[in-house]
Amino acid sequence: MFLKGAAACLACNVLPSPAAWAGGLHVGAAAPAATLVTLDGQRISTSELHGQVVILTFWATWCSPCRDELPLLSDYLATHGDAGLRVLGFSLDTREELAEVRRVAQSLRFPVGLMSDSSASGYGRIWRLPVSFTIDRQGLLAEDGWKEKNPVWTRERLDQLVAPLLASG
Amino acid sequence: MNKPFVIKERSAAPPRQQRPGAPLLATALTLTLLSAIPQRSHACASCGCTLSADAAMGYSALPGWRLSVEYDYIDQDELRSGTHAVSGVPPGTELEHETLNQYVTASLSYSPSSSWNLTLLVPYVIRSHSTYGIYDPTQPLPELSRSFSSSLGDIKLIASWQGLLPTHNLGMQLGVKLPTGQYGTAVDFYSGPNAGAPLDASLQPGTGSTDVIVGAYYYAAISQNFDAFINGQFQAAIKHRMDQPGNDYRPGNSTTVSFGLRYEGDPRWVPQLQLNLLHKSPDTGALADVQNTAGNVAYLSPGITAQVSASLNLFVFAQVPVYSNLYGTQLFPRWTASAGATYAF
Repeated sequence: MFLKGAAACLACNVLPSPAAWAGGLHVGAAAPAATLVTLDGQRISTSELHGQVVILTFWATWCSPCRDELPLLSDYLATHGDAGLRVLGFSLDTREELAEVRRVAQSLRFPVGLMSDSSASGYGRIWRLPVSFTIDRQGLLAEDGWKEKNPVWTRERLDQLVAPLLASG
Repeated sequence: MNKPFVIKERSAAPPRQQRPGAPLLATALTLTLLSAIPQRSHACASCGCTLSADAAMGYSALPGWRLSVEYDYIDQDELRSGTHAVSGVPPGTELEHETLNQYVTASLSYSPSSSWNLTLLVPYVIRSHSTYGIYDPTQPLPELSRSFSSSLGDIKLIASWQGLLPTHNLGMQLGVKLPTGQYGTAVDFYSGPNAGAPLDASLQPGTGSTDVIVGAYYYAAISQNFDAFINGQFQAAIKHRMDQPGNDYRPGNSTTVSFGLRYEGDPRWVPQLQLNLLHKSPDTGALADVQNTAGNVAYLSPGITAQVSASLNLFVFAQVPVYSNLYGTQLFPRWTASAGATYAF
């Protein structure tokens, strides 16, 4: 399986998750509900996170650009968590890759779970990685990752998009 | 699934000794003799059932079991030669009327992991065929000779490996088709001048051959709402039970390539469009009709898959031939239909 771990793409096409529809995604409208079931079985729903800024990030262990941005998100959370930032990491890996997911998750400061255990159908088919969605303190969608031409997080993009949302609280 | 092929020529030899692939006997004297002797049919055609059912149902990398049932309806009622429909056949060759094929294929699929899949396909073949026998323009058309068979076809066992990519959407297949269906001279005509004579080997429920199957497929989401796929499969007989000189039959190799799009805007209803290409090499052997069993065909196949529940999907497809280049003269369908259901557990 020499191609594993060599997905050096800017954005990786993935097997889409079933039964998902992105038609309800509108920036400024109520963000669709999502629930992360973490690797240790904890359930975290976006509906419980009102009043905080939430980044939903979708990734996989074999997605190189995802692996690049995960530490960045983790570091950003470390410095902005007290300001009300939460990050939920949805891994599209299969259960067979759970050990590798756990290994990656151990280095991250935010909770991670498998997409197959979690639910985020309102965000559409996760057909490309990485992709992220940002929800403001009022529970409104602040950023639609499908509309981003370059969906990979950078420090500049975080400062531009997330910092103002944190400041508004 | 074995496809029937039209064979047109006949020799004057008794039914079980004739050589269907022998040169055409065209003299008037021979025609006269032929018209008096019950003939064995050699009717078969490059027809449909090229639909990619895997793509129709949506490829899956989910471990577990899948149970599927598919029904295919293929009515070969049009005579074609080359790229065109024809109104008749040359004197001295067989004038066929119709071959109606219905296949009910049950399949059981098991994926122990996201990378491996093993599928068993068990077809049940229901086929009726009718022919006027050898065409003699100097005589009125004779009564139709009819045959009917309804029995188990040739079982296939196919292993798929899709572990090359972490996304498990590139797969390779290796399989075998076994000679489990009736073959050779098992089915006879039951009425008409040919009553009691065996049906052509290529119209029997099975081919009597053990075939190797190799294939590959790739599919991916290309946008939020569209998936695309391409797959190909090659099948060749590596051993055939009818292997005695003068009484041998080997089905021609076949290659199918399909590609298409699936619209995933609403996961409950997934419209799809497939283009299915088939290249069929001629059957060979003393009981084969080398001249009339090959061709190249393209079908355009619109269809839709419905998600009844999280584990149950239904599909229905039509296939319309948009191109055909058939060797010799063959009975060919104007359209075909397929429907199926898959239950995952």
